[in-house]
Amino acid sequence: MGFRGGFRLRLALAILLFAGCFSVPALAERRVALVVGNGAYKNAARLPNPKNDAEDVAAALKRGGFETIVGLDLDKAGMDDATARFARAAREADVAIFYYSGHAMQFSGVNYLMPVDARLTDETDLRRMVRVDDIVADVQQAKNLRIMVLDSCRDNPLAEELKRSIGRTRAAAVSRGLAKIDSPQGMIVAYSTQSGRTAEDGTGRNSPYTTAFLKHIEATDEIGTVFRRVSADVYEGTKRTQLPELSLSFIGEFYLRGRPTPTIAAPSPVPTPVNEAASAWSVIQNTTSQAVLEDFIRQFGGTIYGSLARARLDELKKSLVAVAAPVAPAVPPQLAQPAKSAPPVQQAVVAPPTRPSAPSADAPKPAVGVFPASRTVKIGVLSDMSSLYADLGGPGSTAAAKLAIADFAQTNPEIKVELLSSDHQNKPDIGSNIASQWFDVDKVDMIVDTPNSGVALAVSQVTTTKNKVFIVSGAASSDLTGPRCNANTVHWTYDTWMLANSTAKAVVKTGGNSWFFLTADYAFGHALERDTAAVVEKNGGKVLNKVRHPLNTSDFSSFLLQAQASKAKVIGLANAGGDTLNSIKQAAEFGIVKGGQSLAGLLIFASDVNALGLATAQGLVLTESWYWDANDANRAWTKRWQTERPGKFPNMVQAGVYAGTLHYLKSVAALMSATDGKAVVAKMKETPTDDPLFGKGTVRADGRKTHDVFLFEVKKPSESKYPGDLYKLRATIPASEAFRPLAEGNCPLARG
Amino acid sequence: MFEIFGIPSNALFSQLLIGLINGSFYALLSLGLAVIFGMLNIINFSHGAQYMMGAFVAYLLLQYSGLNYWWALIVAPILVGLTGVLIERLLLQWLYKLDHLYGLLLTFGLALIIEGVFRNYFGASGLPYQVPDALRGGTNLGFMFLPNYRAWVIFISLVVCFGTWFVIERTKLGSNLRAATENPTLVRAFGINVPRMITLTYGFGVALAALAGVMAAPIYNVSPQMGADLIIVVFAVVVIGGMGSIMGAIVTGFGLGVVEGLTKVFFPEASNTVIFVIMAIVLLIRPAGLFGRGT
Amino acid sequence: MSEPMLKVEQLEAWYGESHVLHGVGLEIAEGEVVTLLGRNGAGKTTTLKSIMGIVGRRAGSVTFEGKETITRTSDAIARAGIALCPEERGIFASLDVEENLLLPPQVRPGGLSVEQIFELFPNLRERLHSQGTKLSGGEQQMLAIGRILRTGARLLLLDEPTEGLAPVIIQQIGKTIRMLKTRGFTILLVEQNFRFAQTVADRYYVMEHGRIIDHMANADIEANVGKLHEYLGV
Repeated sequence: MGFRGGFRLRLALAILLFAGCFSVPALAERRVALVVGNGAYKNAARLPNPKNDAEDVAAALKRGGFETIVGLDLDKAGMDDATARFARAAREADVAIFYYSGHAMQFSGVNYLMPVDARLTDETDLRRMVRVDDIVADVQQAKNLRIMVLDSCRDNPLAEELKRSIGRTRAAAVSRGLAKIDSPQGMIVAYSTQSGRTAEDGTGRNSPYTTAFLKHIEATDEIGTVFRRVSADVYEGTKRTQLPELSLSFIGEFYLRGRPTPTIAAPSPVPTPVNEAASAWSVIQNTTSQAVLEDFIRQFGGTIYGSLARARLDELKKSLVAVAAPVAPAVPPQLAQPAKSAPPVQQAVVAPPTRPSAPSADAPKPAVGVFPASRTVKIGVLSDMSSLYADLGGPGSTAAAKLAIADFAQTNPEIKVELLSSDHQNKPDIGSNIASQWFDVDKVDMIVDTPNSGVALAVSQVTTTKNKVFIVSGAASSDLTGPRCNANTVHWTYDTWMLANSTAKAVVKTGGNSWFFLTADYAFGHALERDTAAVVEKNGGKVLNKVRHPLNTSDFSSFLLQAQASKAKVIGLANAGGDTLNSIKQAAEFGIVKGGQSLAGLLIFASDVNALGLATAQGLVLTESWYWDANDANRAWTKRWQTERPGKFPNMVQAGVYAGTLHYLKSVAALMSATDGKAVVAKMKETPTDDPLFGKGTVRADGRKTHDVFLFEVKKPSESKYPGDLYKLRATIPASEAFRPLAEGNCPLARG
Repeated sequence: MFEIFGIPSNALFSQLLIGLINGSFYALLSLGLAVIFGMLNIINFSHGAQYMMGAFVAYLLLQYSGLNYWWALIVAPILVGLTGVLIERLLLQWLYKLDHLYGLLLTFGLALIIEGVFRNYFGASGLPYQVPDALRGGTNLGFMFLPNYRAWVIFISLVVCFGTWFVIERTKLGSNLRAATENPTLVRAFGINVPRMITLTYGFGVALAALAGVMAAPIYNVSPQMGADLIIVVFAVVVIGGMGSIMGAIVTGFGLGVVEGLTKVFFPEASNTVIFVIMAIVLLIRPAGLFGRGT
Repeated sequence: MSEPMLKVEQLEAWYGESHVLHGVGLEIAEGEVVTLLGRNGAGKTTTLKSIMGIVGRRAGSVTFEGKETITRTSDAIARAGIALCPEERGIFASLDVEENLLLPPQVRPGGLSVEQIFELFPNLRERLHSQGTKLSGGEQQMLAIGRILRTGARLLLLDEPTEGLAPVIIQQIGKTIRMLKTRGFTILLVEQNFRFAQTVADRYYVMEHGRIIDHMANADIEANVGKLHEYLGV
């Protein structure tokens, strides 16, 4: 004995400890930007907006962590200087953006940006301009992501002069607008309008494109989504005259602002060999035939060329002003990650057998008239069976699903249903591997439950690629019916928007109009805080301050002290699970509630209230969409559920699993087929729901199931008469108000 | 009220006090770990699980035997300490002759098993446990409201830490232990039953962990995961303090609690990682730890 | 004098795979001082360790006061009344002098009192609270001998007590051993220096390659000096 351990041991220990604590966010990324706005032209029409555009964009980028070089009204020398500095900076950078607002023109297929002292008497004067290709080369030096935005193509007066000087025959070489830029690999190129078209100046402080850009550039969405939104806004905002052109050719996902919960985004199934897709794409990329593009998407949907094809299909449809077809959000796929425990996914993207993949608005009818007797409908409960969320979903969800299957068998004994269950361990890669395996190998038709938003988002992606059905009950993120929605996913029980809206609104209305937020420092906590703060402010309250704590903190005393010092009437807990429990428990210790402040738990379940005990949790106000003791039907169902889970009580997640599964099975029965996921989900949306647990409701176009939602207050220990008697009802919020309005979600399915 | 670095003095003092309270927790937990490592050369990765068991035993005692917090303070460490004795006799004693890493792996595996069993049986959410009546409420110190229970935690930690230090450094039992750490064979050849001493020492270290668990039950969520969250930090404390140094563990525990508390004021998002940054620096400059005695 | 206090027969010992003692046999009567002589590596220390029970694996028979000890653990053997003063003294660095001195527990009544030990070794009293290893070599040796005198053990195993010490200290140790003998202690002494051994011992065993190769009484030493020189390679 004795300390003979030596260096090796200490090293091992240190490594182990580091592995355990590795939660340091990736901050080391270097971002550089060059923003130029040229408006004060000496020899051409002056433009009022570019200077404003450049200033505003530069400010926004600086906030986003970019080292920004700003150039306002630059002459040729100025532009050369700025671009040289930018080139140097871009060499060392991970992300580089070039944003230009001002005159630009095209000559013989080459694009030029015009400095303020540009004049065009003849061709040689083109040397006074700045070639866009040069800047493209500069931007290309950044390591990870390169973005070019040209807000120009305004009416180009100098072009007329040039035309006159070079003679009529060659005037054709000078065209309005700019030529399409070849986007090399790994770039985003955004034009404020289509090639060959002109853009508007706009009448406000900024041009229409820049206005839209400023609106979206600080969002927390993936960069592709951001730019698509900008395009959409411009198109609508200019009354469908100006359609920005967007070309994305990079691999991976990029977020300018934070990442969504919890960790790694979904790996898609291994894409088909990129070479094949690449050569096919090179052949068809300029096609104007929708059918060709749809066929391509069907074959190579999982590759980056699939995204390009989808984007092109989008443009085609919009430019033809056709009925907007719902488009699956083109998420650039991840490089497939090696599975940690589940066997690696081997199958390539399997095209759905008979349906075209560009979904149309009406659900196709099935061919056969009777449900085939040999066909078993398979359902998988994918949940956290063993850790933090095991009480939320877990084996209780499996029990709920069993009940749904049993009840369905009463009315439809001819349809065989089989149930599987598995543990996703709160890891998105494991979850999506299990989902893929289930869909491909075990022929599962529908997956249900999945608490943990990160896993749910990943599984949702897998489900839509394989055209199966995913019914989310446990996960919270409102993105599932927002920008990440798809035609194969239904979000049943609750989401962050509903929680924030119901609880916060009720609290503010009853006098809690000054808030202090205690927020878990990751995207989920930020989102919850943001949604709730918005509701507070909308209802006349004020957010005094906030503090962010690391995920999985045990001791909140220091943060609670800050909350106390703020003297806010309400302390909003924008966290979940163990963090929430610890916050509440310790708030009681520090006499926070006794001191007159109240706690608003933004994400609390009955199982959490049980964990706290009524003595500590009493008075807490929270929102749930189902409570076992609310009425006789719920109680009766609970009794049945308890035969599988004695001593425990079901919560809204598990009730949602039951109701969602039942509605699914009924839709399958009506359709007499379970094969086409989109069709089944469409049927689920078509059919109003009426189940013993949630009553009447609907599944909306964006996949959101709506139902009445209830504001509860936790009873005092003296008020609780029997085990499980936890809540008293404070208010009922009708389905029409409880969930985020369809139009506000940014779900492509919700449009048109 | 004046300001220091832009933070009002009130806030600063209150955070320092909070840091001290947390530090006393760290000290108590790392003490057990330091005793076990220092004396036995075993890296007891199941320390967190044993801390959790202490909290759960407190809950169970209350639920099923009606024994309250005060009883639990004594009974729970003894019960959990006994399980430690069992573990040492049945499993650990075969590993002393081998590389340290075997002990680490064994105790790590035990931790997973224990946590899994508890989670299976009790669920993941946690169980309620209240602050005992006698310690409810608090005093207004002017710059902050200090809950009585937290003051109690500091008090007990200091007492236990000092007591343990005293036993090890100033009593015959302690000198037997220290000698056995250096040269167990010779000590045994003097007639001292060294294997039994080792067993009891391990049991004592485990009992310390369980005691910390009982102390934690009223204020932290009693769940099967509660140990896993804390154990990593405690290991960092022991490494910084110098593995095997009792005084090192105590001083470092308190000290790092204060450092963490200050970080929560000035840069809250980093409060999780500051301890590991310090650990990395200390290992580079003084690999044996601040108070360690080197190889 | 009936049964010898210590009787070793056919003692074998192994360190891991290597077989180091081959059938060692010796006897010590109560009150005797017996020396094990031999070169480095002859197996002397191993013999002491085997008697004490701290060698890897042993076989054969070791009887102490009529009872077999070959299968007993070392602490049991210590408690039976045997004490070891190891080669290189074994002073603990993490203990001070007083703690070192008081470390070995009393196994039998009749040991020296602390006062008596201080009379023997006055230096120890002066350095009582120094860290154990800060003492000089000679002081450490005295401490090592002193602490086992307190235990009440009647058979003392002394392993090379004079190694590396100055002549004046060696003399003091010799005086001490003779004094112990008069008080009735039984001592098995391991030495390379047979001139020193001559001043204290009654009988000698010579070891080589793990075996006893010769045995003589004190009276025969002078006659066999040449042979001894050969054995010890001096």
